[in-house]
Amino acid sequence: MRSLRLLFVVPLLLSSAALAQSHVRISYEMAQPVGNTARFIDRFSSRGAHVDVSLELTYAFHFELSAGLNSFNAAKYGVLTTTTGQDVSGKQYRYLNVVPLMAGFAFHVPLGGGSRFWVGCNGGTGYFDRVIDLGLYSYTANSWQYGIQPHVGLAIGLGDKSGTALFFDGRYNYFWARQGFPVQQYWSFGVGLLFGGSGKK
Amino acid sequence: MRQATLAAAMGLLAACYPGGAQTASDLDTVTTQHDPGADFASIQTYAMPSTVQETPAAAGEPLAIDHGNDAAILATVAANLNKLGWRQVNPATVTPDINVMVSVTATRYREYVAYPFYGWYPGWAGFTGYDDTWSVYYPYGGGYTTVIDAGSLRIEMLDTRTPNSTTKQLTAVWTASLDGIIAGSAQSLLTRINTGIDQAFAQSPYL
Repeated sequence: MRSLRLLFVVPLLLSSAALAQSHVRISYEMAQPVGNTARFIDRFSSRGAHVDVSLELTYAFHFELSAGLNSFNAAKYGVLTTTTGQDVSGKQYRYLNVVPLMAGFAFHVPLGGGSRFWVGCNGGTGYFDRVIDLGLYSYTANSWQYGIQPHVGLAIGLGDKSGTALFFDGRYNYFWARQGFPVQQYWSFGVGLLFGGSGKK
Repeated sequence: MRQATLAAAMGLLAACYPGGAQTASDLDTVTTQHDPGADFASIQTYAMPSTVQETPAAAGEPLAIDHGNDAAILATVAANLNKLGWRQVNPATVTPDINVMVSVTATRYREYVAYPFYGWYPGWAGFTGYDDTWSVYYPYGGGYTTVIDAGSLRIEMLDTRTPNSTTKQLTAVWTASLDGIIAGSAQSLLTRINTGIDQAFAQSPYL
C-alpha cells in the first residue's frame, strides 16, 4: 500500500515542479532502416506511432518518456539458412516490429505563440520482433536490445489557449548488439500533435 | 465497446504483418540439406531410375498424381547433374558413384475445427443457458475450415561408395525438397517444378 501511495506522490511532486510547458506529443511516424536493419528489410516504413511525455524540470530543460512502434515489412527472394542446417529458398515475407521504450532529457526552446524547437537524447530499450514467412513455414526471432535515440523537433503553435501545436520530429534510433543479434539502426520521422504546451503564455 | 476495442486491436496487429502471398507460386520453397562430410568433389558418375516414385505423406489424404511430366522432370534433374560435370551411367554395366532418386508426394490437408459458438456471441439470448465450455458436434464429420492441397518433389543422392553393411544403410549425401501448393495447370506446375529444381542446384554450390 505504501508503494502504491509513493506511485501517486511521485507524479504529484513532479507535476508541482513541472512548469506549464510540460506536454504530451502523439505522432505518426515513418522510418528508414539503415545498416543491419536495412540488410534485413531495406524498405521505407510508413507505419508507426509514438507517444512522448515531456516534463519540464527547470526552464527549457525537460525529462522525457517515449514509447512507440515502428513496423517494417518487405518481400524478397533469397536463401535462408536455418539453425538446423537447412537452406530454404523462396519468396520471403519479412516483418520487423520495433517497440522502443525510452527515457531521456531534452532542451526545449520556446519560439512564442506556442511554437518551440527541441533537441534531446533518450536511452532505453527496444523490443524487436522479427518474422519471416517462407512458403508454408514461419520463422521468428525476438530480442530486447539497449539503445539510444537522439531526436530533434519543431512545433508550430495552432494559436489556441490550450497550447496545442502541430509538430515535426526526427529521431535516430541505435540499438547495440545483444544475445547474437547485431546492431540495429533506423531513422524515423514523425508528424503529430503536441498537447498542453504553452499557448497561453 | 469491447468488440470495437477487439477490432481495433486486431486491426493494429494486422497492420504489423501486412502483405503476404498473392499466388500459389509465392508459397513455393526449395529446401536443401547435405552431409558436410561428403566428398562431392570426387563424384564423377551417377545413375538415375527412369521413373518418379510416389511416397505417401505421414498425415493427410493422398491425392492422385499425374505422371505426365515425369520425363520432363527427370530431364531437368539430369541436365543439372550433367552441368556439374557428372556423367550418367547405366548401373547394369557401370557402378555409379551415386544413385539419384526422384519422388513426389501430393496430399490434401484438412483442418477440423469445432467452433466455440458461445464465444462468438456471448450474452446472445439464443444461447442462454450455455457457456464457453460448450462446442459444436458434427455427426457427419464436417466442420472443417481449411483445405490445402500441398505437394513435394524430393531429389536424393545416395552415396554408393560408402555402404554400411553392418547397419545396411546407404548414406544420403544431398536432399532437395520442393514444396508448394498444388494449383494451376499441369504446364504451370511443370514450370514451377523446373524452376525449383534449378534453384536447388543453384543454392548448393558445394556440389
